[in-house]
Amino acid sequence: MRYRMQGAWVVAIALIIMALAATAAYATATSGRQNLGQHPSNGFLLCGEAVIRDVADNVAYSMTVFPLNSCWNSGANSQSGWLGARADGFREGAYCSTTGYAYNSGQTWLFGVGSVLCSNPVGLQAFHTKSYHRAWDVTTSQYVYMGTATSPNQSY
Amino acid sequence: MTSTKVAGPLAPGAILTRHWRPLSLILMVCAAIVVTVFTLPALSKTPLSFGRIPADAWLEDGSVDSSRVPDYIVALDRNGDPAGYVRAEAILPDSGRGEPVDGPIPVVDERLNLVGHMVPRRGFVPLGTPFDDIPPVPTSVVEDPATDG
Repeated sequence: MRYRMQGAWVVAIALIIMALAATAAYATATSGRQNLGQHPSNGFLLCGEAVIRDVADNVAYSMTVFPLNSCWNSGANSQSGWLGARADGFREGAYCSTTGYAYNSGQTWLFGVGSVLCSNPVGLQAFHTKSYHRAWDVTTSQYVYMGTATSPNQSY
Repeated sequence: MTSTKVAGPLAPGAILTRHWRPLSLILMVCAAIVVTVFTLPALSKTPLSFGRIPADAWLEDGSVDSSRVPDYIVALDRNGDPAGYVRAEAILPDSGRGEPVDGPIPVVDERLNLVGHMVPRRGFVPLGTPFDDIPPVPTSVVEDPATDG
């Protein structure tokens, strides 16, 4: 009976450790949708989001929504090339690389670009993504920098 | 009989001494000014800092506390090893609120010698290696045309 109890404890602890390990290995951290102001060409609300998702995938999303009072309102389509996003990757406070800017190729309300920019050596490392967002301005015929978002650290 | 003392010609050494005193004084003052102008700013400059961005330098609004960010930030190569340093202003301008350099960024060592570039989608490319010789990392793109807004 005593050995059975000890065995149950060992199994329980092992399960907890496995659950914690799984949480660390497969988790996503996001900046949430950040209000970057009105899109200069269509007037919709432009929002940006920086995400680090398993495993160590640095992702940046640009999106247009309407009405203008919240980034969680319904998506409102932007024309091809009107949304730009770039993701930069950091690991343990060091700079890994960037995806560079990418732009939507078709009409869409949400456009994202992502890449595993940092290597992931053995052991827990803290990663995060910094996203940058551009919009096409039809009056000046050039891209306008709209702002940035930063994900929290996520360890893998 | 009166004798008149006529000043004889001065010895060359005496002439030089008489003229050099004020001249040397002026030269010394000029030298002091030059030394002050060129060395004081250098002495007052704090040495450049190199390192990683401390975790607590990132602020909740996504910007960084630039007083805690080193002048040059560690840049990792594609194996994850430190390759050198990139200038903080190139990747986190305006305390992390501005737009970073859109293109290759110089990577230097602690003596500020160029050792390579951080190239978008390629990462660190050592000096002397053509950018195109380093294959780009795979990039995924998401477009959601689900709305009719």
